This record gives sequence, structure tokens and C-alpha cells, in this order.
Amino acid sequence: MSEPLADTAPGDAPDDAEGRPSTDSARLRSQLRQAEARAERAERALERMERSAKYTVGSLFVEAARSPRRLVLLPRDLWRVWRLRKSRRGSGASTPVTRTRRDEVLDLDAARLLLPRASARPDAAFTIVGALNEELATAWSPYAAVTSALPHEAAEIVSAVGADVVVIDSAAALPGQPWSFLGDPAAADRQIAAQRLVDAARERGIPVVLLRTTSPAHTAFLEPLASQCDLILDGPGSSRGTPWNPGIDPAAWPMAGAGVGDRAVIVGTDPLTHSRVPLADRSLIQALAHALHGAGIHTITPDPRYPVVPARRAALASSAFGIASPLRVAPTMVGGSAGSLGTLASGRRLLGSTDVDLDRLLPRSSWARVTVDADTDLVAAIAAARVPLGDDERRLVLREILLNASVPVALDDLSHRLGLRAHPKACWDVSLVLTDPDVDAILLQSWRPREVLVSAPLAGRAHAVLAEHGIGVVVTHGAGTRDDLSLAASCPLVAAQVEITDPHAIADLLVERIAGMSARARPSDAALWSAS
Amino acid sequence: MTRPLTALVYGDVNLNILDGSAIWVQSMTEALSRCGVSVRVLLKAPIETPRLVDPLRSLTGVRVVDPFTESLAVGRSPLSAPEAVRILESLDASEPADLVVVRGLRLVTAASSSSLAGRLWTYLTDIPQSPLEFTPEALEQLEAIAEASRFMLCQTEELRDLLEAMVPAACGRSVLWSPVVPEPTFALPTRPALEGRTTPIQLVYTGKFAPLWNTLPMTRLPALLAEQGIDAQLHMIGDKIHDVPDDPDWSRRMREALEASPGVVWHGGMPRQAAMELTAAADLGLSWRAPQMDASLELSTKVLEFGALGVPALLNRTPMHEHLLGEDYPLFVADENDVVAAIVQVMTQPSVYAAALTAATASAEAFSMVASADRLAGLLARAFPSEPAALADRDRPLRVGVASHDLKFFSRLLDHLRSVPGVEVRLDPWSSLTTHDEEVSKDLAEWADVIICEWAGPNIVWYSRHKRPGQRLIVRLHRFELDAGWLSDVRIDAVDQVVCVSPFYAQLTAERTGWPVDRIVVIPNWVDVAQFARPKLPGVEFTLGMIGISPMRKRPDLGLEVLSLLRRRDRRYRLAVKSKLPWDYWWIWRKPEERADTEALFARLHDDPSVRGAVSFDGFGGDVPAWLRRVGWVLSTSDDESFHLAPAEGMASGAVPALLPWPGADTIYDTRWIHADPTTMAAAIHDTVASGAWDATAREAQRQVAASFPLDAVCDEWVRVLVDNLSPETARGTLAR
Repeated sequence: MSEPLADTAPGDAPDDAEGRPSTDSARLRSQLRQAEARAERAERALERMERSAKYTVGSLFVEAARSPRRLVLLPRDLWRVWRLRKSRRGSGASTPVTRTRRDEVLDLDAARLLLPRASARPDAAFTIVGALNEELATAWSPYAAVTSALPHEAAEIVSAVGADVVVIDSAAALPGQPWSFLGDPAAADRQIAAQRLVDAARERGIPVVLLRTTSPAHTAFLEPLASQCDLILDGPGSSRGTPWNPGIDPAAWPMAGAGVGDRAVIVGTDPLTHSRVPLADRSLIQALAHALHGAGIHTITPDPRYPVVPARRAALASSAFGIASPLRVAPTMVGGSAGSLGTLASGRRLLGSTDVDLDRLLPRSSWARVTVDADTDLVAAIAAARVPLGDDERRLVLREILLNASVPVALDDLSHRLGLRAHPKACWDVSLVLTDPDVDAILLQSWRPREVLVSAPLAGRAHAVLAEHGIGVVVTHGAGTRDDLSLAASCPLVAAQVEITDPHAIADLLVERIAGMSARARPSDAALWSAS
Repeated sequence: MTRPLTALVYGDVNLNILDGSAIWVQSMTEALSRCGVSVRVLLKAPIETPRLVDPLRSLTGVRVVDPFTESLAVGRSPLSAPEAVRILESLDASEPADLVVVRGLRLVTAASSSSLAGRLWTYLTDIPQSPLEFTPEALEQLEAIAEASRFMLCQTEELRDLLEAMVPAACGRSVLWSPVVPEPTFALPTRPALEGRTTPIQLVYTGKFAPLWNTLPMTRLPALLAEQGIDAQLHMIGDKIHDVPDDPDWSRRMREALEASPGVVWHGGMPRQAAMELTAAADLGLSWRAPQMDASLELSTKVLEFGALGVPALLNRTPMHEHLLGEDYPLFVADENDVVAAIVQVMTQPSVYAAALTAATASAEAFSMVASADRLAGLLARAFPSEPAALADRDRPLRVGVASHDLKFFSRLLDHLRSVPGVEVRLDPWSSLTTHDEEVSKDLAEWADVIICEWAGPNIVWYSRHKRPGQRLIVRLHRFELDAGWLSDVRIDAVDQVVCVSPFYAQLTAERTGWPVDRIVVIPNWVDVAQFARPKLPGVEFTLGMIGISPMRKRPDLGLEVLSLLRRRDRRYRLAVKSKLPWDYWWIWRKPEERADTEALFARLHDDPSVRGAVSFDGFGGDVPAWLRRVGWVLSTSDDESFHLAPAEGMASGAVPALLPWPGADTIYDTRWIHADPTTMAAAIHDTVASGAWDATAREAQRQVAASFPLDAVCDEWVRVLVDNLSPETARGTLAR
């Protein structure tokens, strides 16, 4: 606010002949207002200058020149100025928003009220903190210690929890998600919070991963953040740069029953009604809608009022098959969505267009999918989709999901890519009890054991060969009971009486255990049990 | 406007080159001319081609200032920013300008510290495009620019939101100035139908040639289409081929492609109307850009121009383009294959082309010169209000003194009073509620015709005892003053008007003080609806908002209860909080009861599964209008309030208010927004959303606030009360309209 100017004339302005103020007077008053405004701006500029680092540093030197004590403390004071400036600058800037929060917090302890109780899982093999979409956090939570941080607490949680990795999931920025509108210019505070999260991770040497699972237009605004991440992965729904699938929890999907025959669930946004359908897909979608109607098929979508995974499960449970969404995965986009994988894991067939990522993840169970394009007989395709998967077919699909598209495998891969020692797949590590170890057969297992339990040392180079492939050998010295074997094992799971010549013997045992499936016919009494 | 306005316009751009920046100068000048403003346009560079300058000279009231022929510039090099500012200042000295419209960061920075500061209407596009790219130096620079600007003209909502979030001084000053599409001076041609066409399909591109604009891949399109059996011709208009430091050969390849690619006709640079005529003859426009451009905060003028000329464009799907053209616009493309596929589709499906055409032409209507000039007239009226009738017969300006320790709720009114012709304003800034420089106050009392005491504190006590005969004394009382002891010291017979912000508080004031009721009137708080009315982000109907949750009498715990009740029915509901937190205020945090209540609140946040993870604390700042874009419901759950501006601001933004019945709420807000308790409130919110009625309800709320306490009406009332007593009837009934 400006002071009234001492030289302001309180008297009347000069009048023209008719007693009205002249144009010159108006101009003078205008100039006076402008001068007052300039004075106000000068005061504010002075305030800014006095707050600036330049002024602060200069003042420190002046004080040091005046006082020997201040001279001694000068290095410390300069260090503090540098730290403050660095924290404000970050790798972007301290913003008025963050400056307000940091500078005006008088009780830093009280600010800890913002932080949740730590979701402690001290035995967890892998700790993840991040900006996570709820579906992803739910899928990952059984296999890692996952803390889905909110924007206002994310940086502090990284300090409190001590993560192996920080993940920023672009789908967390979708409407209704914890970081909704991250990347939107209308929510600059979210980007600043994400920057603070990245800064906190980097200060602690924690790698940061940007997982893009939304369209390029949605992630374009995240490029300044992306350039600071240690790893960028492109998940389902994003543009094909570094394709990577975050996996699903195979334990979350299998369900009894074949669903209602005249119902199909659309596993994402309904392409039959959604307005964002690409031009190239509209003809096919219209034809499909017509064919579904003709076949008496009623389509449903998961109820958005409920969390995604339970809602999708409920919808699948009452449906005969699933319809992929988007129906067509463009060649430039990454496919293999959680909805598609979940549909297959539930024992339903999936109707959709070619999806090269699903092909890659599930190369031997493409028969579980009904592929449609512009030339497909949609009536026949719908009829084929309605046929539920048999038990053996489900097992095959689940096996491939286990091996290629399950959360522990995905997280293990992530850990490996980051050069971390964490081993998220450890929850499914198997100690294999063998009386007559066939090294080749062991190595051909689609799910290799972590170690083999043998009653006597192995002959020849067997031990060394297994060790080269990361498979340990434990000599049990005749331990025979399950309890004894469990004690001898270092893995959480123990398998015995396995038909080792079957390359999927261990994998299928795992599938049956994880998905709660009944055992398939086997020549031996193969068993898999928990060692704990 | 009571008198003609004069403007200076300078864009730090070379008007010999046809690009968006140059077109901006042209369209801004024309819009000002249409508003009756006399404009002097300063040229940056000597005229080499008059194609952009001649149209300026033909506009009414426009003079093109050529510093190179009028001996204003030194030499013939394009003006540097300091030199341009120097010339602008000299032009202003010879004939003062009411507004100085400038573009270009370097130029604007220089102008901000010149004598032009305070009258600048600044237009910036060359600023960081992401919050993470703002350095402290950039923030300081923009802060200074904002403070020197009357308005900051923002091309898009996205740019405005970002600017306000990063530069506090930009809040309240930032307005939209969208690209302007000129009207064609020719009749739009009738093009032959695409289906069954025997002549080539005509594609057109206008603008710069640069890698991210995909201009090189564009030149391959006729050949790619030929492979699909489609005969196509691509017209390229423009003459600015960028040099690419990382690819020195790019410009040569671009030129070669323009000159030699099959099916490509390069027209070079053309006058704007000629370019438009050629464009109008095309079937499809190309505005497809590299994915990196998806994060641009700028809207392509070309896209709008295409629409105005009846030419649908192929362009990237971005939130901005979806908002412009609709989510289901059929010609969004991501890559070359998409472009070819889209063109094949329009050739074979007339309905697709028709849908695209309808969307394109509709989208351009709001950007016409007529619409833009209309918006500009509104800005001019706001910046230069008319002389009030009440002051018309005065022989000298009315002298208004404002005395207060805290002007945060009066600042906008102060700006208005300062801009009103016939009013002079001075301040008596009290350093605290009770501390002032008595000499300054005496000077003001001696000088002013009218004294306004903002907050009924010891300031009104002092001025009531020092009132000059014939002087008018007005005090605005908010709320806390009623509980203070000094009101009994006010000489009420000296006070002409006691202004309260709500009928409830007017009545409470009368009851508590015993002051004459005919002097107690109501002028409500204002809401700048124009500032708050911004497009909502997706899914807002499920987002509750609270602004200011400290101290605990604001009852954020009740807001949390509403959220909990809602989330038990639908997990999509969330709560966004824009506020400082209790521990940020020492006078709040030192109270044990405040700490206990705060701890209980946060304990519930963390422990209650119905709300865990569903509440975000979005900080504190002046960028409330941008923040409200993510909010669909604004809650007011306080124990008591004098006015509570938050619901009104929410209504202006297009959110629905939801209030608990604090005393006096029904004298400010329509009772339909007031709910008995959190359970009733949650039920109403859920029913509104579940029935699909949120949108219509929000629009009604917006209409109400615009009718109840709009900024211009409140400002008018304040001008009126300077000279006349308001009716005490204003203190009765309800403000809601």
C-alpha cells in the first residue's frame, strides 16, 4: 500500500472556461495514479530483492567483514543459503505453492499428521512407493509392500518407508484416481508434488520409474518429469516405446461357473457407446453391436461404484465371455490390458482384435481368444466366444499368465531392469525334492525351482551346472517327512514327487495352488506345499 | 466508455513473415479498432512486403508507426526489445495511451520496468510450458511482468491455469484472449462431393515448416494416398522454413520436398486473405503434429481458420482439441497411417466427412472477429468503467480515502474505485488493527470527501472522532468486530453508513450495537464470475471441495463425514482441500482444543477405510479458479460464517454448493443448497449425481450467483454508497436471486 504523496495538491484541479476540469488535469491525475502504482511496484520489487539469494549472500559478506565471529560462521551461512536455494530450485523450481508450505510451517512435527501409518510389511521382498492407479496398487499389493501415496504426502512417505523403487503410474492421473489431473495445466500442484516425490527418491538413491499406461496425449505433459526418471516403461494403453506389462494377480481371477450365457462383459470403457472410438474402428464396432443384439447377447460393464478389481470380477462371474476394450489395439499402442488378462484368467474367452502383446505374453493359448476384424463372421465368432474354457484350457492359460504376465514375474523383471537385488518372485520360489535329479529336465522346467533338495550329493558337474543357472542344491541327508523337508528348504514352497520330464510340472502345481484349481491327472502323487 | 481510448500495440514479431505471431498483431489491432479504440501499431522491422501491413492501415483509427521511416529507430535493423520500449515510451509521451498491448517475453520484460507499467496488456506464449520448467529467475521475471500488467492475455485456458498456479500476481489479472479467426472477404466456394470424385482430393497446410509440425511427412501423403488408389493434391502455403540445429540438413530436405514431391503444390507466402481463399477451396486441412506438441499450451489458429472456412482438419487428439471439437470428432489422427486411413474413410463415407465438417465449423464460431471484439469490449469496459451518473455533476473528482490494516477483501474494490473516472483514491494503511500514523490519518481526514474504513476496528473509532463537516464516513464490518470491545467507542452519529456483507450480520450488528438500523445496510461480497467460469475437468461431479479448513470451526470433520457417507455408496467420490493447515497458523495451533480436533481429523483420515486415500490437500494459493475446475461440489460445513465466499466462488465456477445451516446462511444462499445435516447433504449429493442432474444443477447455481452478487453490481453499489445512502431494506431478506 502506498503512502499519500506529500506533494499531492489538495486543491482544485485547473478548470476550463466552463468550469470543468481540463484534459491536462485529467492527464496529470492519470500520471499521478501511474506514479503511485510505480511506487507500489517498486516497494514490492524491493521486498523481492531483499528476499533474494543475491541480497542475502551480499549481506553475509558485509556482516563477515564487520565481525570476526560472523567471518568464522560465513561458510556455514553460505552453505545454508545454497541448500535453501537448491531445495527451492530442485530440478525445476520451488514454486509459490511449495514455498508457502515450507516457509510457513511452524511445526514440522505437526506436518507428520499428514502421513498415514506405514503399511509395514517388513518381510516384503520389494517395497514400492508411488503415484499409483488403484487397480495397479491392488494387483501389486499381495506381492510387494505397496504404498500408494497421495500428492501431499508422497515425498515424506519416501523418507519414512524406505522404498526399493518409486513408481509414477500415468493412470494414477485419470479422473477419480489419487493423482487425478497430474500433467494437466489446471493441476500444476500435482506436477510439483510429483517433482518433490522424484527429488525425495533421488536424494535417497531410490530409482524412479515412470509407467505410462495411458494415451500419448495424456502423458505428453509428463515429459519434463519423464526426463528425470531412471526408467520409462510403456504399459497397456500407451504408445509403444518400451512395452512392459505390469502383470495381474492370477489368484484374483479364477472363478467357478461359466457365467450367464447371454451376457458378455466389456472389460473397459464400452466401445459400443464410447465417443472416443477411433474412426477406423467404428464400422467393426457397429457390426459387432448388431451381431451381439442379433445373438441375444446383453453387454455389461463393471460397476464403476466399486473398486475396479472386485467390480470386474463380479461382472465376469455373471458373463459368458469378455469383450476387449479397446476392441482394436492399434499397432502403435501397447495391448495386453489387465482386463483382457483377467478375463482369460477367469476362464472366459476374450473376443477382440489382434493384440500382439497378448500374443507375446500368451503365445500358446491364442485359441482362448476369438479374434475379429472387418472380414470376420461375427455370428460365428460370438458363438465361439460363448464356449467356456475347459479345466485343462484354463490351466494352460493360467500357466502362461503365471509365467509371463503375473505380478511377481513383472516385478522381478522390474527389479532386474533397475539392477536391484530385490526378488519379488521369491514368494513363488520352489524347493524341488528329487530322488534322481535330471539336470536337463530341471533346466527345461518352464518354472524353474530355486533349489533342489536331494538326499545325497550330486554326481559329476550336476551341482555346478545347476549353480550356473542359479539353482541351489541342498542335501537333506535322508529327510523324508514333509516337515523335515520343509525345514531343509529355504523356499516358501516345496514340491515333491514331481514328474520332472513334464516341462510344466512345477508351473502347473503352482497354478493349481495359486488359482485354487483341482489337480490335473498325473501319473505321480505330485504335491506342492507351503514350507512355513 | 465515456471517452475514446487510445492504445499502443507492439508484437516483437516481423510483419514481413506470415506466421501466427504476425497474425496476432493483425487480429488484435482489428479487434481494438472495432471497439472504437485508436491504435498505433509500432513495426519491429522495415517493411519488405506490405501484405500484412496494408490491411492494418486500412482499419479505422489505426496508424502504423514505421520507426525506420519516421526517424524513431537507429539504423534499419529490427528493433531490439529495449529500443522498442524506448520508442513506445516516446510515442506515449507525445500522446498518452490508455493501454499498451505487447507480445514477446523479452519485450514485455523490458516494458515492465518502464513508464508503461501498469497499463500493459501482456500476451505471452514463450513461457515455460510445464510447472517443472520454471526456474526461480523465470518466476521472478513473470511476477514482475504480472505486477506491471493490467491484464495478462492468455491464449488458452491451459496457459492461464499454469500461469496462475506459478505466478501469484497473475491471479485475478489473467484473462483469455483466444486466437481470432478473420472473416473471409469472399464467398465460401462449393466443393464437389468426395464420394465418386473424379478430381483429386485437395489437402491444404498453411504456416511454418518445422519438424514438429510434421511438414516433411506431409509431403509424402499424396504418394501414400496414390498407393491406396486415391488421387490427392497437397497445397502448402507459407515461406518460413525453420533451421534445425540438430539436423542442419533438414531445411534443405524440406525445401526439396516442397519443390519436388509428387502431388505437392508449394505456394510460398501469401497475403492472409489470399491464403484463406486457397484454403477454402480445399477438402481437408492438415494440422497433424508430432506427439511432443500434444503438451503445447497453444491452440493453433490454423485449426480455427480451417473451421471458419468450412474445411475439416486432421489433427492430434488432445484434451484441448477434444474440448474444441468434441470427443467423437472423427478426424483425430496419431500418425501417418491414421492420416491415410482417415482420408480413405472420408472418401468412402460421406457421413464421416459431414460430421467432421459440422464439428469444425461450429468450433470456430466463438473465435470469430465479431465474438472476439465483443469479448475485448468487455475487457475494456472492465478496465475503463464509465463515469458513474452519481458523479457526473461534480466540479472536481470525488476524493475517497480508505483506511485499513488489511485490504485483502477490499483489493478488487479498490482497483475498481481507482479506475472509475471522477474518483481519486488515497490510502491510510494501518500497520495493525490498532496502530497507525496519526499524521497520515489526519491528512487523509482533511483531504477526503469520503472515508471508508475497511474492518470496523479502532480505525472507525478514530475517524468517527475526526470527521470533517460535509465529509461522508462509511465503515464495512465483517464479523469478528462484533465480539471486540471498541465498537462502543464509535461515534455512530458521525457514521453515514455501516456496510455489512449479509442481512444476518446486519441484523446482528443492529442487535449487538444498538446503532440506528437505517444506517446499517448490506453490500454483499462480490464474485468475479468471469474469472471463475472455466471448463470443468472430467469426473468433477464426484469431487467435493473445501476451501479453507482452519480453524476447526470450519468443521472439516463434517465434510469428512459427508465424504464417508458418499463413498459407502460409490467409491468414486473424493474430497479436495485447498487450504493452509492448522499448524500453519501459530494463533490456531497454540490452542489445545485445535490441536486435539486436528489430530482426531487426521486419525480418521488414516484409519477409516471409507475415506482413507480419498482426500487430497492441494495447498494454498490465489489460483482458486483453476483449482475449482477439478471440483464439482463446494462444501460449507462451518459452525458460523459472516458470508463464506467459498460456495459462491464454487457456484461461479460451475460447481454446486452444499451448505449446512450456519446462522445466516439462508440470508445469502438459496435454501435449496442448505441441508440439515451431513447425512441429508450426502443423500442430496448422491441423488443429484446418480440421477444425472449434476450438470443442470450446476448451471442453475452459476446462474444464481451471477444474479445475486456479481462483481460489476457490487462495484456499482460501492460507488453509489460513496455519495448516497443505501436503503436499509438491503439488510433484510436474502441475497439469493
